[in-house]
Amino acid sequence: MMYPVQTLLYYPGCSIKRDFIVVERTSKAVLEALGYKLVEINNWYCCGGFPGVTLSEHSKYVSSLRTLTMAQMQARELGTDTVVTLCPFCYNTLKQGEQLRSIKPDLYTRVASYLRDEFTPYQGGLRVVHFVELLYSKLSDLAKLSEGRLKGIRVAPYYGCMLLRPKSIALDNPDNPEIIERILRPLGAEPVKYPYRTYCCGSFHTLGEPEIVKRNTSKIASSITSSGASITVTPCPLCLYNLRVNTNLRVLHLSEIVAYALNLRDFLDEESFKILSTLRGEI
Amino acid sequence: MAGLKLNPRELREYIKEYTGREVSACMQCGLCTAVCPVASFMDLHPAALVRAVQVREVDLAKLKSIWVCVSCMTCVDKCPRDVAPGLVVETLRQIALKSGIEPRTYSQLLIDETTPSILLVTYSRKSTG
Repeated sequence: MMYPVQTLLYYPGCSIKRDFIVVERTSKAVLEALGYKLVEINNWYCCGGFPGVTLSEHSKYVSSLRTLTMAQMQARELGTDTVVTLCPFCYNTLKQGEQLRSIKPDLYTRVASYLRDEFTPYQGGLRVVHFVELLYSKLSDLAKLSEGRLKGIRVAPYYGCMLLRPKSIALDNPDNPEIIERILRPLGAEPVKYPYRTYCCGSFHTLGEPEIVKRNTSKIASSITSSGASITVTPCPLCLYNLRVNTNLRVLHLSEIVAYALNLRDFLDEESFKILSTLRGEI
Repeated sequence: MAGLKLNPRELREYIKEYTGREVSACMQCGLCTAVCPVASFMDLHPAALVRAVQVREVDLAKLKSIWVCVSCMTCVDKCPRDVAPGLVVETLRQIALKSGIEPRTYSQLLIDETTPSILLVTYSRKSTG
């Protein structure tokens, strides 16, 4: 191993395990190549999907606090303080659950009282991070390992909502995020900027009001098409699904393009590998 | 469906209790509607909804906007008076749900074996109390 290994607790979440297996495979491969060791949290629970928005939604914090309680016990054994998430919904919900104790102490006390028969409630001290933040902390390693393999490929990053809003959990400037662009440049890629990169794709309305998702994804798609990008990447599995189902864009998860750049081809789906290799050949 | 009519005083108190925010602070700048990614699918767009809450009776059983909002938090972060229309919408949605009003039953949802579980979880979260 060329780097000192840092151990992280890994929170997968429902869809990464069931529907987006390639995202888990490529993300883990990339993080391991960058010197991280991932240990899955024992007995993790559903993040809750959405955090509570109002002050009366105590029950919506129960599952994220329960997971953080489990994570805290394991973190002590492993000597780490960091929980990494791959899904932006999980990141958002767990991060807001983590902040509850310091930001809304009354709400925390009430939720903790629901859990007191099960465990010692979460006491604070964990750091919830998203995959994107770990990549961003290793830019020079990305450059070294990729040898600029994506040279000349014009990539449109699509952020979605959950990594940027509300601002208490934003991992970059919500009005003008650049973190994914900064990850793509050391890989050799040319990130393009376009107006709709943080515009909501329509989210869960796919199930009940699909015309909302069709309208929003088509606005995003035409904005990307006029930007001249040849491929779109997103860190969010739900955005990925909505963009794939509703538009003609070539869309990959961010972890796939990074895995390709780091020459981790064994972890990629054949189709993603073909798309990226064709793009590379075209340049 | 039976109505669920609330007058401005009741609405204001609920919103204060649920969010800590003061709807009377809204100055009707319309920024929330301008940034809302789903405003055109609503019967009352965010700024109009806050205005309605300030001045007149609102029937939650008939209000479609509360089922359209996806809690993207754009208007909440942008509101210059900290009214946070997205939180107002969420308050009304929760009162409606607690009163037994539902957006749509599960049997009508568009689900097959390729539907990612994240969609089911997030939709369920916003359709139940």
